Amino acid sequence: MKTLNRRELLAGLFALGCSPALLSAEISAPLKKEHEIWLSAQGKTAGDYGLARLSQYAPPRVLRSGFRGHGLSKNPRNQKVVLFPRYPGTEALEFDLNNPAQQQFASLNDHVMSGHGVFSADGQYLYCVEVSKTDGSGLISVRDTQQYKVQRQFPSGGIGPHEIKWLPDGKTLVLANGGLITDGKGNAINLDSMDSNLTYLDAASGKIISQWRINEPKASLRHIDVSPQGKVAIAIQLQREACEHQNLVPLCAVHDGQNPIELLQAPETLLSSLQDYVGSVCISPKSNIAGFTSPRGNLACFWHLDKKQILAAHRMQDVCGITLGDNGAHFMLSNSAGQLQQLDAFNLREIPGSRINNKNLAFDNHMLTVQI
Amino acid sequence: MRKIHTLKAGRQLCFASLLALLCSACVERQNDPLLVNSNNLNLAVQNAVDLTVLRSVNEFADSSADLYALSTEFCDDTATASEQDIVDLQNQWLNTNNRWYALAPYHFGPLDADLLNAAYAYIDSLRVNGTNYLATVRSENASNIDGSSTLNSAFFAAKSFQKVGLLSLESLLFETADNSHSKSSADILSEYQAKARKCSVLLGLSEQLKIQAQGIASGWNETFLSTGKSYRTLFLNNELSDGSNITTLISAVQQHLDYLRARNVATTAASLAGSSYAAIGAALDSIEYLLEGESGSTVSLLQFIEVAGNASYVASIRSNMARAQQAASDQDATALNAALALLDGNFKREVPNGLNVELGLNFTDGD
Repeated sequence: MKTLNRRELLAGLFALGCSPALLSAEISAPLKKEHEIWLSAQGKTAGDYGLARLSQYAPPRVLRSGFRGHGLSKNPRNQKVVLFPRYPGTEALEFDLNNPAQQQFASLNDHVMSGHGVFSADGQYLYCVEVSKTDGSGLISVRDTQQYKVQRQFPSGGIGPHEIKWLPDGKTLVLANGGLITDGKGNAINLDSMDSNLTYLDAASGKIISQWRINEPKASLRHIDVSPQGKVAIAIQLQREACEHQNLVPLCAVHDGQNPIELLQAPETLLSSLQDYVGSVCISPKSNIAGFTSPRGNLACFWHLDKKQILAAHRMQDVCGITLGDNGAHFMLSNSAGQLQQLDAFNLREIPGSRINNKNLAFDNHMLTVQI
Repeated sequence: MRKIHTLKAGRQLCFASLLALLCSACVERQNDPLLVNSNNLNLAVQNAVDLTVLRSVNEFADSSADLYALSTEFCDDTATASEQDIVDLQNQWLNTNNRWYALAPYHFGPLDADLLNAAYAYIDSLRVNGTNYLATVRSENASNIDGSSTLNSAFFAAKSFQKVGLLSLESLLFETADNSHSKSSADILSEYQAKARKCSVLLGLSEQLKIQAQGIASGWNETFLSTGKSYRTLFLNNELSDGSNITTLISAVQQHLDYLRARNVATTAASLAGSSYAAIGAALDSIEYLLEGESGSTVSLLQFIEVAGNASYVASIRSNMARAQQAASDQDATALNAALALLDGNFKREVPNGLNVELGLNFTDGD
């Protein structure tokens, strides 16, 4: 693990062609009041990779990372955010949203990071999802949040773990084990034997509470979000080339923790439009609606979590990032063309005049909303 | 029976004007080297749209209208019809199916404007998720022929995509609707003569196909949804609400190539007519024309890529296209799928890179 001091940080920023003065001024500018910012991994090339910071009140800023980022998690007790690397990266980076300090930490030996993790509610620990380089098995490394030293670790309950979240009780973790082992180029090498599941874990003991699968062995459960009532929305990716059938497989699902995972239904033409790939999911607690994005289908689709009804579909090219905006009143969508679009979280209509274009940015798979 | 073979007069005039305009552009270009700039890229895209996409749209609409007209003529007097009339209808279906395959790679805009009731799905149920609904259409056709429902336009318009479209018409024209499913043209003719409702089904389904095709043509040529503008105008002016035009075009073709391979269309489509390879050949010809344009007369996408210093990209694309066309001609499914995968790769890499177009990180990189 390596902690960067201010001198090292500034030297690094200079080397990356970034103006420390500008970044410093933006980060440490006094805030008039608490407001909402949106964060996303961004960049198309190694020199561009970083954390994009966006808001209604300031021009976008990029905090360089030096690696391609993926998921994000904010410490609930301070203004620190961890940017996880895109799988199979080995370095994660902590940013302080009020300070230019950064702290980098590495994956366990012989492991890579899945791209996701979560802080504990008390802000004392980070639960980081890691993947064995040798057999693809998943591990949760529990790290302190001072230097991100590993305090303990426990198995994820499967192969190819990906996104992890807390249930509302603050004690139970839920994690999607994607079931895939990939080579260095991202190609799956265990399509014949892949085994994906949704696993509930006791965070204190690491014990597996329960595991759930869907009735399609070539479906990889990868991204999840959890409602305040504890319902887990699941975004799925189908390994079509490994299927021995031509059947349409619903790719959006919900789980209540007790009964079988329920696949969310929609007309076939709509499900087909998802192109066997859903990349991200976000639940609006206010409207109890789950939004799912498909960059291959250029679609965001929305289901009511209780009624399990498809409500709307919104077209946006290469859409993948999805988070909440305007204190949860909006769904916010992003794509790699640097575009943001906002939909009313209740009627799911696009908010007129709300589009934001950042032509110099390229948002990666996921977004996170934080209040500062 | 008269073989219908017409282009609509208005479209002829429009197309002739377009050709004249493009020819004047080519005279200029022969004197001046093609420059790699946004104006020429836009011109290449416009040529691709006007010379290939719009032509495919209009030819499919015309062919569908011709199939309906021929069906009407046939059904006006089945008593004196001959087996040759069945063959003529079959040939017109083959032409319409090929024209559809030439259009299907451009799977955006009017083809799928309505996500729940998309025009493409009504026309070609296989395209939805690769499922062959032959058993469904056989059952549906037999039920309609032997039933007592009123077989009017509203009846067929309300049918779900699994029960209609080109597949349903293929079954009506290339086999009998009884359990024998005879492919003899004499048996097919006899069934039409014995069961008047079979003609009603033929007319109802071919009319709906014509309506769907006209709707696509209207969207491209006249007004798209409630925009007040044609999709052509929206597309070429880059006024699409959901993304850039060239990205839409390239990713659509790439996804269609992936569909043709992944769903084994060569072995699943048009099984009664035995024309899947001809149909895929029509799709490949259309895509080749999209890339190459009219020889020596226009700025084409491949010319642009080549002048931009990417001759190796062009060579790869042309080589893989030729390989795919040869495999389709040879009716070799294994070789065809291999070549389609290579072409699919070209549309993920060489075509967008050569045009300096981003398909999108998220689109390209799964996680």
